[in-house]
Amino acid sequence: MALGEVVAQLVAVRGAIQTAMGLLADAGSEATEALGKAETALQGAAHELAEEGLSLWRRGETEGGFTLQKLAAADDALADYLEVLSPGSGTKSTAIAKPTGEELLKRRRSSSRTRNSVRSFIEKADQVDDAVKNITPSRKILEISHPDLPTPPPYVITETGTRGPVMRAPDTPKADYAQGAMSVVILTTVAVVTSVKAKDIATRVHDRWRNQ
Amino acid sequence: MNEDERTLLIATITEGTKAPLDQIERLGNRRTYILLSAAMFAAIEQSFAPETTPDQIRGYIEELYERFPKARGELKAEVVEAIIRGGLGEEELLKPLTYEDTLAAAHLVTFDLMTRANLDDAAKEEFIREVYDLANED
Repeated sequence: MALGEVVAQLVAVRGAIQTAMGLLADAGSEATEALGKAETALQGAAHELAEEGLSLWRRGETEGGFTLQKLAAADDALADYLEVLSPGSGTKSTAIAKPTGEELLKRRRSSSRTRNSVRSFIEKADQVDDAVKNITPSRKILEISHPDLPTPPPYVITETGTRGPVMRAPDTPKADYAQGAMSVVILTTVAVVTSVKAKDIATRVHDRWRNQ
Repeated sequence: MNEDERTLLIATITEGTKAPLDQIERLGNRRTYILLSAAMFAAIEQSFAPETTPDQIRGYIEELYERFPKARGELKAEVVEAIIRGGLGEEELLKPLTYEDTLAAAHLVTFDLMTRANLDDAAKEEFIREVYDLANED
């Protein structure tokens, strides 16, 4: 195995150990799995630090189970070995420092009670149709918790489910009833005059025809 | 966790932040609901002892309404009580609730409990990571 691969695998392995340390309740299976990977990564490694790390790890597994102290000791030995292989890659920075007991308590996972409750609500999420982008219900609540929420522009939901600004028709003038009445009078007058004129013309044409 | 999810959760546990409307729109109502539900039950676990009585829960709901008077119109007291009792172990109370019943609580109960807790930045990060894990559990 190439040196780079070994370094990469060990860095990953250390991440797995630290996860196991953070989740001490589940540390047994996590650490056993990580140990299996470490055995592979360190196959043929003759360095005493590699042997020490593996040995501490194996002892943790066989002698009364993993504890935080045993995992931390194994992790330290592997960090030292990484420093030998590739200086800087095994640094024990604060970012990957071992958690204190108090921190471990803080890191405890939510109870199975809470996980079950969340699961039942995830099932309710199946009632949500994401094709309709309607965030109005959330908005109404956010207006309570975030009172500085700006007033939204008017929106409508289109048939395709996208939001678009409301389109308003231009203002139509109000009906002017006086003008309407005047129009009726004028039209009626025009109609009457036209009718009289038409009758007059018809009479004159008829008279001319009779006189011929 | 993407940036919209983080911003949504930060806004849900921090007073005085910008309302995360754009994030909700991009994440969609379904993902928003899942994240807020996970946040709400994590907040309930952190805020209420398992032996909290129904009377104490009703007392809390009255305090919630006093802090947010407008919540009375959006959030039914019996729904909030069922959610909190359900989160503390009476899971059968959660089953009859619908998405519409519970959306307001997922926003507001989480906001109320977590802003009262007044977490520092590191504790907020820890809470958000926990919520994200809960929301993504199979």
